[in-house]
Amino acid sequence: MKDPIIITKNLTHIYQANQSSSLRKAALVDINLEIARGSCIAIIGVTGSGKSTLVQHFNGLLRPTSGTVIVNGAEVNAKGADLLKLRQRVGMLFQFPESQLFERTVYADVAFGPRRMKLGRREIRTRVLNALDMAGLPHREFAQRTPFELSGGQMRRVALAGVLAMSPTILVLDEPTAGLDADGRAEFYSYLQRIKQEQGVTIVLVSHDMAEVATLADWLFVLHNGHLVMQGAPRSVYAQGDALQQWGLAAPPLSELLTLLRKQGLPIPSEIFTLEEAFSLLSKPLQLYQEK
Amino acid sequence: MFKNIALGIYHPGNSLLHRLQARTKLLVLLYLTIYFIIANRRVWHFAPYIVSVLLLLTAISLSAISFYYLWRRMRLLVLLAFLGALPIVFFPDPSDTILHTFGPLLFTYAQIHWIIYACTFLFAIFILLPFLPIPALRSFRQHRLLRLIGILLMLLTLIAIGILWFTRNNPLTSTIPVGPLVVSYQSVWILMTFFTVFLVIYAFSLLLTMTTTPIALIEGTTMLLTPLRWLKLPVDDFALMTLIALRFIPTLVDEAEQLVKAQIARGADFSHGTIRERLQSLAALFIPFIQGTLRRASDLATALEARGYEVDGKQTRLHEKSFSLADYLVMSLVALVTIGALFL
Amino acid sequence: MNHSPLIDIQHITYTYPTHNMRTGEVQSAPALKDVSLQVQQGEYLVLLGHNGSGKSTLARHCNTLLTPDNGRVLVAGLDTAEKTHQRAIRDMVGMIFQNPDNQIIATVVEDDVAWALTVRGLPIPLINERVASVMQSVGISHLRGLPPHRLSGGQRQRLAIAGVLALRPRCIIADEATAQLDPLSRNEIVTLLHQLNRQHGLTIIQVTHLLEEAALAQRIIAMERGRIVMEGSPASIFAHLEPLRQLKLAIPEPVELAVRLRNVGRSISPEALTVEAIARELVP
Repeated sequence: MKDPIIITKNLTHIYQANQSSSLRKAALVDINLEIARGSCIAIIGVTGSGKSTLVQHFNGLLRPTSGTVIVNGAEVNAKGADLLKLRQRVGMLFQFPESQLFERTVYADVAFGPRRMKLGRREIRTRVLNALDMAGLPHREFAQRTPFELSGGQMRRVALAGVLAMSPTILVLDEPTAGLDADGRAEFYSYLQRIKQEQGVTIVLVSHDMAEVATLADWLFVLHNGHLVMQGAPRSVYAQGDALQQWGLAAPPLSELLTLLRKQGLPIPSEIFTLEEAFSLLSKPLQLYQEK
Repeated sequence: MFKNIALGIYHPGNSLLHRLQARTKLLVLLYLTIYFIIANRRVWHFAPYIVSVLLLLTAISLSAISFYYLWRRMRLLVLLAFLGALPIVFFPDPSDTILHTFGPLLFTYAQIHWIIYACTFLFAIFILLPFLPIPALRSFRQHRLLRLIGILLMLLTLIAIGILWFTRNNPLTSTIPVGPLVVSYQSVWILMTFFTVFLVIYAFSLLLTMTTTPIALIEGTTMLLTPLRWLKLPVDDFALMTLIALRFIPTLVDEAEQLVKAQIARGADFSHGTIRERLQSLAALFIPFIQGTLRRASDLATALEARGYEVDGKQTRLHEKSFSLADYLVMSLVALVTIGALFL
Repeated sequence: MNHSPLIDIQHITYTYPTHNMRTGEVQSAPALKDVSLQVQQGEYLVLLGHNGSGKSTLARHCNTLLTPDNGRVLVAGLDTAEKTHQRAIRDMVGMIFQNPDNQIIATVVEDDVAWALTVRGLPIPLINERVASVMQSVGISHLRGLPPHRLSGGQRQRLAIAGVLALRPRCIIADEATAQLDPLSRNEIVTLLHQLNRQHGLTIIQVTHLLEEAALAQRIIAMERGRIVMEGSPASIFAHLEPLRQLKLAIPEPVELAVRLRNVGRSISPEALTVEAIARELVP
């Protein structure tokens, strides 16, 4: 891959590494990965597989016990690493981010990040209003409202705007749609797609939701017990239902259906992945397609 | 550290002390406190104190906790208490009978000046030592103990200079009396008893918390405070509040950690920047945290309502059962022995 | 055999009291508008709808957490509006909530299961027996001495179910109980609820916005803006996808595939709503 934006080499992280061996917990073991600039990648795995630990290395919240992490050309655990600058470049949204809102107006909350960056008043204003629009909260309507009177989904997007206002090159989202209903989820994705397309931001998703990952991500990394056990395009990863099962994961329902049909003898080519492809294949008259 | 707060310093075990009810242990502790107040009236009567120390030793041997372990937990505080109590000896009441007098030490000003020069010299060496080219001395400054000594020396030097300044007019041969330090019978008695009481009560309360789970303690305390309920005080509510606090502290710690990370990822900085910026970063922590806690409280209240919570007062105790033979025996033994000692 | 319903909701209307700080008036759109529903003993019912459709509000009327402004709710014949019936009704209808953490009150798993029983002052031998049997049914006996913060999300919800089960209710309401769980834990809980329904005859009311969970119900009640808009078996509800899409619900892809194939002539039984069932139908 040429010019990957994030590289990890032999990344290992052990919690409480300087304590006695019974207290040490290996959260990540020898992770080697590369993330392409401008892509949308997803890290999947069961709770406790190390997903959150991994992404927290990308913005310097955690330091590797051994190995290196290189973000945008700069090594994260180098001696003089500018963590403040790194955290502007890598915007991170944790789970249920609506719980971190605290200012009196939406504008003030979104401006919290840019203010820390010591930008001029005007620059901050432009950034905040842009970020609000990008996150689907038209600033004329929302900027002066109190965050706490908004719906859960809207509050979540205020938190997203807060991160976008710092103009990050990389956006890390930990379970971004947890707890939202179908509408809320669809809305969130549409804004995410737009951000990716219009601003060329590299997106790193950490998710349980296989369907979400299947639609958004270009590339998947599968973690299990701190090890990187599989990676690839969603199509190929989800075709390996058995392997996923042994790691406690399930493929999206449609992939599961296709795998089951293949097991039961139907000749379905492995490229078939989306609903449309499956429909056009299966709606052909039986004889014709059995002949294939 | 905070995650294990529900266990406190409880050490699981099956010794006699573990099997006693929390109420028994609480009552014994309370009883001993009052006992010591009574016993103190007869001066130079050692029996009660010897008996209580013997009781303590018996109790430790009957619990699953080693003497060494208990001493390790206690030693710092005990040392401090002793050092703090020592001055009592030297300031007796004028009416007390004198045991001994440490005669006034006479220092001449010349001697004092010499002491001051010595201190200053030592301090100067201390400051200059790291600048010597010997590499072994480089890390001199970093060593914690030596830094402490350095600070002490600096203080001494400052005081010394102060003394020098104030006494500059006094002739070198005149004397300063230091003392006399008078030690009386009464003050020795007070020191001994104070120290013994402190030791015994502290050790007993450590034993209490080490052999009783916090929940049992809460239930025991609630049961002992039953009379207060007749005075319409909300005893059960306090018990429930303590329990909820114990239950939620680990969860809240996790939440706080998560929040700190989230706000740091947004650029909050608690250690750099102007006071105003740091305060803002703190607000970014406190406000969401309190919000989250209030929401939790509201959710919890709804869930408990749905489970039929009512302030009735006839709650079953899960951890405190009724008194067994062992409890009665222990309580009566303690009472007998201690009251007997009063009359010896 | 008693054929009167366990829960009888008769034409209820409810508005959440919200206080406008500035003007001092109480104004809000009604959360429930003239809703009637009967739940039979032993049913597995799903209340389906997007956030704000009124499903949680309706569920909370079934255990007296809320009482209707108009109309009435009878639980086993007892009117929920009567304060004296509250405890009896809450003993019969238990509820678990969305956030697994904010339902657990004790410092140790087995104490939490026993909590509701201790509040009622039951004797210790009875409590111990109930707690042991309930932990067994729910599958958390091996966790009995652990503090809650060491449990996974799914385990915490199971603990919550155990705490409610200890009172031997006739009905359990799961108010979006799987919303904050990962897919594995979600399956765990739904399987457990079905198991309790089959093995113990417990009535289950599951409030959710996930159609894949609704597919396993005996009866689905779909709500929108405070009214019941659809009612019926999963097969009948899933036969037409457009109304479901209008309710802002996400259609699981296998189901959509099955419906579209059925519409172009493939014979797929309308009862086939799970991945396994649809696969069976597609293989000639």
